[in-house]
Parts: sequence; C-alpha cells; structure tokens
Amino acid sequence: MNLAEIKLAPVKNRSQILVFDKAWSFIESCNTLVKIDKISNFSDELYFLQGYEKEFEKLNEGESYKLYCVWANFFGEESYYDFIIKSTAAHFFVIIYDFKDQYEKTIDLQQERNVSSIERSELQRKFEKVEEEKALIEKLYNENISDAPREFVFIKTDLMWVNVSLKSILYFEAYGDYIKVHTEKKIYVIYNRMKNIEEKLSSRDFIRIHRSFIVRIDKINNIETSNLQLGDKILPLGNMYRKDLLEKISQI
Amino acid sequence: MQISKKVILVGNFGVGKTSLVSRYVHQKFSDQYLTTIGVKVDKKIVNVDGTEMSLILWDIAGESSATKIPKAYTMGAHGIIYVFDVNRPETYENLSMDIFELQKNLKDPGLVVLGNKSDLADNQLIEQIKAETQREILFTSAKTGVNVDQAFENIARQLL
Repeated sequence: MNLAEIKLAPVKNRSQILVFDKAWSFIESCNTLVKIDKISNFSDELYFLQGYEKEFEKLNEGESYKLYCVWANFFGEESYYDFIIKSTAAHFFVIIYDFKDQYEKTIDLQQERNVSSIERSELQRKFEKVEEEKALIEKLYNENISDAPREFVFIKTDLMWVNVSLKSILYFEAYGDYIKVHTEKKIYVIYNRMKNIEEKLSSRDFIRIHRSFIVRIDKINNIETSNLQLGDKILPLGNMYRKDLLEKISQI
Repeated sequence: MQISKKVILVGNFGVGKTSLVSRYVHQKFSDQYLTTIGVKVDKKIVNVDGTEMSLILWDIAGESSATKIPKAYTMGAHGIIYVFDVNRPETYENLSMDIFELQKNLKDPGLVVLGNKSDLADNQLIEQIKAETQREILFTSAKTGVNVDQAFENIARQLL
C-alpha cells in the first residue's frame, strides 16, 4: 500500500496529522491507522516535501519545522497549505493546514501591492525619460545660445569700455592704425585692424565693401556700381568686394 | 529509475514566473496578472537523454530582492531559474547579487537566467541587456512559448 491508496479527505481549515517514524515509515493519519512501507523521498502526494528530509532529521525532540503557504495540488485539490513537521522521541508529525480562504484575502492585498508597484516603476521610468529629454533640450538650447552671435560689443575708448549694440553700428572705417566705429548717435575710435574686426563680426549682419569700410547690411539704402548709400553717407564700393555684396543681398 | 530534482523559480514580482511554469507544465498562457503568494509547487516528468527526471518546480512569490525569500522555500533546491522582465530594468539591476545570495545557501545548484517577455522587446534592447548583465541569458516568452521548453530542459540537463 502507498500513500495514494489511503483515503484522505481535503483538510479544509483543520489539521490532519500524518505520522512517520524516524526511519520515514508512515504510521498513521488522523483517521486511518495504516502502516506502509518506508517513504524514502516523499514522492507522490508529498512530493513537495522532497529535499527537506535532512532538515527534519536535524530536529531535536520538541522542535518543529514550518513551511508556510504552499499552493499545491494536494489530496486532489488545489489549495494553499501550511506544513508543520514536529519531532518527538520516536516520530515526526506532519501537520497540514488548508488555508485557502484566508490566503485568498492575502492574495487580494498582495495583488494590489504588486500592481501598484509595477505601475509606479513604469511611471518612474517615464518620468526619468522625460527628465532626460528635458536635460537634452536644455543642453542643446544652452549650446545654441552660446553659439549665437552676441547682440552687443564692448568698445574700448580712452577711459572705459563701452557697451555698444551691434544693431546701432552703421559701419566701420579704417583710420590709419585705428578704426572709426560709426553708430547712429556717436563715432568711437578704437585701436584695431580691419581684418581682425571683419573676422569677429557676424557675416550675416556685416560685410566688407572696401579695404577701408565694413558696413551693416540692413543699414544700406541703395547700391550703385562703385558706391552705396548708407543713411546720408555715400561710401565707396571696391571692385573686388562688389560680387560678394551682390551675392549676399540676393540671398536675403 | 526516476530521479527527482527540486528547481526554484525566483525573481521580481510580475516578471512571469508562474506563466512560464503554466506554459511549460500545462501548455497554457493568460495575459491576466495574478500574484503568487508563498510558493506554488508543480511537477513535470521530463526525459533527459534517456533518463526520466521528475522536476519539482517551486514557483516562489516574487520579491524585489532575493534576501527577502524565506530560506524554507529555497532549502534543498538542486537548481535555480532566475527570471526577469526585459522591459523592467529594476528586475535585473541586482541580478548578480540576487544569484549570489541564492547560491550561497545551496550546494552547487544548476542555474539558468531567463529574460522573459521577450516578445515585447526589440533586438536593440536585447543586445543592451546582454551588454549590461554580461551573463548567459536565455530570452523567453511565456506568451508565445519561445525558448520556454529549452529553458527547463537546460536546467534539467545540468541536474543529471
């Protein structure tokens, strides 16, 4: 006879005791007193206790080993069981509890906790992605800002540095080793070279029209063959600069 | 003679451990997420190179860390199947620590690492995970069945 042949009812919220002796021979269940052959490895119905034999054998008299919340098909019924193995001088007692109803309430709570945790992680990932995108946009924006041409320039006069809006500059005029900066209200004289000034200015806003003149393009009123008008000033247009100027204004 | 081996399935919750067992043992899959509490025990008889083996599969309720798994569940296990969700980095960021924690209490256990829900990932993500984890990983899908049988056969072969 083996364990499967013993008539065991589902335990349903009460304990049922299977008794083994120290040699793992099955002795009895709560209602059935049947001695069967030695169970060497808890196969068949008690297969899920396999691997615990050594743990049980370590138990001293009066000690117990607990295995909670095992969801298994036991006695032909799928349910949640608790197993408690108790040791006496001569026997092991395997106490089995069916806790399906109680565990179902726990399942609901656990389900809620797990689902909300998964959702929270998903939201966290989305948030981090948005933060990354935001940081990237800020980085690109700042790079763009730093690359953009400045709207002003500091001009050194004899006594101080003066902040001059680039939009207020009409043209630069070579003046020996100096340069005259003609603005709408004032003329500044700075020590510099035309080539150096030309390199520093935005080619979008300024253009060289003569070896002695750089003008702000949007201030030009009209262009003739060898000169152009800028405000009330007539400035010379050099032959070698005319082509560049005409190309530039045709793009605009 | 049939040999019997205990294999534990571990990993974060919601990664698909129960679905993998359900696919392998019962050839079923459901999209619905039903949490496991405690441990769900299933059995499958497999034939490995002519040897019959009874795989006792301990599908242990998911935890965020292996340190939270009760020792009573992992006791006496011969093999470990570590499962993570390829779409949730938090389920594989502590992979090495978790595996170390599990292995230290067992005697030379077999090990298979599964990246599950691979049907929801593209090749770029798979390659990225391989590079990040630096481990041999089998990418599975309990939904489509991809590599599921192979995963369990792999662990069974290690336990021969």
